[in-house]
Amino acid sequence: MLMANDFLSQSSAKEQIGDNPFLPEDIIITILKRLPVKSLIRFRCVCKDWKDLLKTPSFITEHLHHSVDENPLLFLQWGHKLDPLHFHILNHKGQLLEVQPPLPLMDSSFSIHIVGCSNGLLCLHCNDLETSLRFPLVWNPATREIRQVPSPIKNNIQFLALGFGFSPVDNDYKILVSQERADIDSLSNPLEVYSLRTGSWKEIKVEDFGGLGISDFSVTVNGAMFWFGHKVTNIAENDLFVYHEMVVSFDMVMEVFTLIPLPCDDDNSRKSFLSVYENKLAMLCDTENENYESYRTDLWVMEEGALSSGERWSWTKKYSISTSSSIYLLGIWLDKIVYCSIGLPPYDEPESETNHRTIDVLYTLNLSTHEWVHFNCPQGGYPISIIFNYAESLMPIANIHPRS
Amino acid sequence: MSSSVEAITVLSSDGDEFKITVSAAKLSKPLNWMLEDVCFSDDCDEVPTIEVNSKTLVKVIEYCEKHAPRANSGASDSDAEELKKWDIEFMKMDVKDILFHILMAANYLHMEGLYDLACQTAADLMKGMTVSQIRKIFHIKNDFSSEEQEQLRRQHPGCSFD
Repeated sequence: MLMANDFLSQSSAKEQIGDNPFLPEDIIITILKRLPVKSLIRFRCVCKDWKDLLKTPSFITEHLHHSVDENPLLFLQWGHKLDPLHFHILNHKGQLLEVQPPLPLMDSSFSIHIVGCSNGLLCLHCNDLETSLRFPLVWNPATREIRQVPSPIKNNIQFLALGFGFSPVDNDYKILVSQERADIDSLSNPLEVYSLRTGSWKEIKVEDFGGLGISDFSVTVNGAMFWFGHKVTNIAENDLFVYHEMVVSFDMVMEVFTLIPLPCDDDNSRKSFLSVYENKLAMLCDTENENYESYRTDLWVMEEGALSSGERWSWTKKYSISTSSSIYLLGIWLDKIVYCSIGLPPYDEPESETNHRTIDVLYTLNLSTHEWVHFNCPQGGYPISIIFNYAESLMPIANIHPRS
Repeated sequence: MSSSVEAITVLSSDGDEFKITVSAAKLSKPLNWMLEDVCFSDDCDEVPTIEVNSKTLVKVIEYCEKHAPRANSGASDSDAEELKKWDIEFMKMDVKDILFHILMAANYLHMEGLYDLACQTAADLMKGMTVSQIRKIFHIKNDFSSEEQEQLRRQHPGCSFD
């Protein structure tokens, strides 16, 4: 495999000007990996060596890691599936930047939702309302590269994109779809997986789920996709129905589903969100306190593997923080819980500031310092519907690189 | 042992002598090894040479002396904040003039903090540069043929070779 360093070893294209020293290739790479994608796209035109360097898998990976560590971003989608497309990126300095949606999708006849986000790539599920055609798209907002994924084989008419994520073991990006049924969120065969590396669909055989339903929001961490799941069991004779909640996971390499028990069975708690915390699956629960006046958010983190307790999974409550009823949970970003306000701020502000705050405001709550920070959002008239942890990358969509 | 001296003398590649305190020299791994190996005392006549020109070495020593107290003892948040501001001022230099020399020196002297700072400064400066300005500072010739340029323009509308 070609390494990034190989490309700059030839100095044929160089000429000495003034006192400036020639920089060795490793230093050039260390500088270039700090540049935003926008600049790197321009600098493809500097010379052939640079153009080739910026395409090497090793450089793309190095740049991505730097981008994740030094410039972690939050990708926001506004409105719901049928609203006009409206994307923003929030950076760690608190600046909100608008993202131009991919041009072919600006047409209002599309209903679009983001299935998942990994290494700077987003997977969108598109539904053309006029033709009822559905197709998944993979999009890199930084390079503006976009690719339509061919329709699944078995589920070619109506399908539901359940998840998208990166599988580090086989260095591949995968999309999971199932058949859409009348009982919308029920997980049912046939299930198919698309691999961006091979560019093909594959049906996967799984046991009957027996009425297992899953939420339409997935989280990907460490090569597995996760959803909230639920199952209704009918206890015969009495017409009694028992509702079980759990986490459903899908291992992208082994291609198996697993049902994982939830940590708590607190009746007051709404098991609102799956997220990722410290590279582990996390669950956020919003709970109304007994006085019905205040809320708290609990953060649970799951450990997986051979645990000392003999269990395969264990949940630990890491934080429990009082919040307010005027905000709703969106997820976790940079060890902070992200909320959006419905009206009033979640904490006491000086009089002058609280007046007329009815516009959408994004809040982050720092878990260790309990510090709230707010970001005023443009008044688009649509609430924030979903957030993703995002980082700019040069990751190509076509020809995802083979294992390095 | 070196512990008895507070400052050492080094030679730049131009042959000029510079003094650097022991605590500042410790920011560089190679200099630190040198301190452990070589006897530095007033009657020691061996003066080590650092392969960095005088103009650059002045700046590198300035950086070391400023950062040494914090590196050796740790510092409060306000000190860290002050140091950050100092770094920004320190890095206000011409890329054509000295920045790349500092980069090379920081790399050669294994000074991680200065190396990161200089790389970031270079990257920040490059963001605002045109392609031909980039070629100039890196001594690169445009080796695309006119056909290749045309092809790239077709693939990526708006890309500029100037």
